[in-house]
Amino acid sequence: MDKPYRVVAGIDFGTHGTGFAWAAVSEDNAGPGRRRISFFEDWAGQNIAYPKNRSAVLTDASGQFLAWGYDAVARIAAAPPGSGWRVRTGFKMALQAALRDLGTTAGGDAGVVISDGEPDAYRLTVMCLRQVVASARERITSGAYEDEDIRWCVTVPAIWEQATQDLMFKAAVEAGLPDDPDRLLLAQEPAVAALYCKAKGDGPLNTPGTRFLVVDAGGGTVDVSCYQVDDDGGLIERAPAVGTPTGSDFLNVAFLEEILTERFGAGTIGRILAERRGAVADTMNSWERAKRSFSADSADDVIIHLSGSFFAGLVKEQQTGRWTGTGEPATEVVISHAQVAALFDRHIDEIMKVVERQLAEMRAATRASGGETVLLVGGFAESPYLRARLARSLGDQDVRLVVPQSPAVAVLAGAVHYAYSEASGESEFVSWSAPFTVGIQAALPFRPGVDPESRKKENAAGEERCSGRFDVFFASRAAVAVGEPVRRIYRPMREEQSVITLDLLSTDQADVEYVSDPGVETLATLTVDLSASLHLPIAERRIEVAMYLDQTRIRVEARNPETDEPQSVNIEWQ
Amino acid sequence: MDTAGDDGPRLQLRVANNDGPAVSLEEWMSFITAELTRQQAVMQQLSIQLAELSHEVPVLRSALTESRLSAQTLRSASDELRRRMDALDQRLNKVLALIEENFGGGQTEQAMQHHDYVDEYVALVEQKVVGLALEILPDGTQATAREKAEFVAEVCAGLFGAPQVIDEQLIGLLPTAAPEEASQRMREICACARALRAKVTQGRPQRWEFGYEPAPVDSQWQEPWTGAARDGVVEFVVTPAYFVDTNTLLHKQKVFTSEAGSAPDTDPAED
Repeated sequence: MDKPYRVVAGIDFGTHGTGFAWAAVSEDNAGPGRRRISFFEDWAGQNIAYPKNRSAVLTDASGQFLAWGYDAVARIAAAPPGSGWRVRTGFKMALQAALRDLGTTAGGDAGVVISDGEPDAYRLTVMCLRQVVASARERITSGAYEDEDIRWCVTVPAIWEQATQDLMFKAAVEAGLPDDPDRLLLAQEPAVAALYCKAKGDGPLNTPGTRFLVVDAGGGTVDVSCYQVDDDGGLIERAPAVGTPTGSDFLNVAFLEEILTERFGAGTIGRILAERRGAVADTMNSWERAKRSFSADSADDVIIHLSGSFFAGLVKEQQTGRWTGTGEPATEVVISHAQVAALFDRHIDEIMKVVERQLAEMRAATRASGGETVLLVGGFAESPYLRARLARSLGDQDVRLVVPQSPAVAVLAGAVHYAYSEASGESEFVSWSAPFTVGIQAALPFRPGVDPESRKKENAAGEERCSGRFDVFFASRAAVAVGEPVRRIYRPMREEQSVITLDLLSTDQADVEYVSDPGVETLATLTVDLSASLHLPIAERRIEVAMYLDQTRIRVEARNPETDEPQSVNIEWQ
Repeated sequence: MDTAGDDGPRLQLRVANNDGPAVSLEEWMSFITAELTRQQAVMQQLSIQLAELSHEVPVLRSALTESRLSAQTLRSASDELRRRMDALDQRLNKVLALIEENFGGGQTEQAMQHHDYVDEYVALVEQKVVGLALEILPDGTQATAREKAEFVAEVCAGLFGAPQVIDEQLIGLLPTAAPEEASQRMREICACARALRAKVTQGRPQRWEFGYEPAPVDSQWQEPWTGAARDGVVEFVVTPAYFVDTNTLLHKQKVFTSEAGSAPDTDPAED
């Protein structure tokens, strides 16, 4: 057997929770439909078994690691006075610059923070992932497997930028995963969720021609991607994934900032947040449970159970005359169905906008309308209210909503399926839709009457070139065959050049000519070493650049076509 | 070559040898003869060698054929070895997968369904049962923690502690003055509990744990009912713990604690 991997493992590193799962690579496991995937639920330091642990890190005053997961949230309650301990959450969202300003600092260590612009989100991500990786490695190798038998897959949101995905790869390596793109795969969350649903046989996902969307509603982001099943059952991505940072954790923030503050007053809630951090986290857990069961089917009030310490804090507020709430303290908060529904609706409206945008993209790309399927996955997909709202809105547009059996583990199990199919060289994806135009700044042959004279330059061979051209490798929204590179040959302009520096560019425009066109951005700088070719005549000092665009990464390779020797390429993301 | 006539002074035929100087014809002929003799000797030598080689060729040819056969045998042995290695690798993967399946300790997706059942259980108790308590207790949310806990405990015992869920028994827990709507809600609660009890019998063995010791709360698997005495001893179980397999805890038991003279948990917090 040629496959070097005997076991594949998936890690779903979520904004709210993180888990891992794995599957043995064997003949009996080859079919995705009957593949046995093992889930882990016995986290150290956690009395209650659960497939995901909390993506939380407890640090001391100097920022050093103390604990992680639910254990971290529980231990903050026992923090010595003045210790400066902090529970850090939401750091996954802070990895990407564009998402950093969305959060709130309310609650601080209450376990509900989406992002408070953590400057050290990367470091916290490494800390958290290191624990997950250690647990996964310990469990998988506790039997007969060796570490080198494992192929890993870590999932990332579809809306993450290239540089953030690269940062995630780096964080995963620093956390202990192999620094080898063949052994460590990154995969987009909705894409792997599609594999899970396909394996489950949910909906007509194995029927050629079927068009479907995957809505991955997690704690931080809601990602939407769209695919069409080709004649061989492979998946063609029809438009680049889109998303919105309106995951279910934002409902937690709204609950804390709006509902609890309204009930208890800003003064009381502020003091409880400052003095009883563990108590707030427990109360948020009660809200989390209530949120998951909130339904449109009944008009019953929603009951949030306060933790003992929270209730004691309210009583103390009253006894000391500082109570700023309405009525008397009680052991629970009762919220009207309408108020919770309004909270949900605000977020679901944003989700629907993104779903409809992606639906329109797919309809335009496939020139067909109606009869689509929407697969709803992710932790938020367990919400009966979200399901009902989406089903109603989509039904009006001739779209059917399907929720798989276990939507909360769809990404986790999908990551295992993805690693398995890639390990066996049987990718289920046929092509990706380029999310933007990608190319390289180059001096291309001068086109008289087309290129401006100001750009005309002569190279060492006396040829007229046009400087500052955007040499397009992948045009925005073009189908990019999985694993197929685009190749270009470049030569140095000057005799004495020992390196070729190439700017990797991107733009949203599909039609682009020059690097100075509006919207063109530099993604990275590639430096290709030519020193080994300096003995050759300049006309023979060529490099071939091969660029791959997969679902999560742009990969660039360079080689000398004369000698077939690979040239070292260094990429610095901007 | 110079040339000369026969009469007159005797002419001598001379030829130029290889080095240039002219030599007589006799000398030249003698040289040629010697050379021919040498060539003949060489030819004889070559002939002998050829005869020897002719003898060796069949041996070599045979050796070559043998080597070819050996190479073929080796290749086929190597192919066979590769096939056997692949087959062994597949069998090894199968064995490893079996070991993993039986001793790996991971849970299947089917087994994970219990987490969904726990969510249903918690939602039923925390939303519907407590909601009914707040509705039928005279002081609603302002009822004491004990009043709420006692009602929830009795309902949970009927829903999850009795051999069967009997609607009328549970409706009997409602105050006589309770509106008909409360009875209807209790019937809905009973229906939900019956459905849940049917589901939890699938897959991993499951149990609702009502047992307790009249001792301080064991935070490993219990937690106090909000508003009960802090640092007290367990007086009764409000909601049962949810266990699967031998002792895997999926939801903690909620207990009402009390201690003679102890105050409810309204003291300043610990932090």
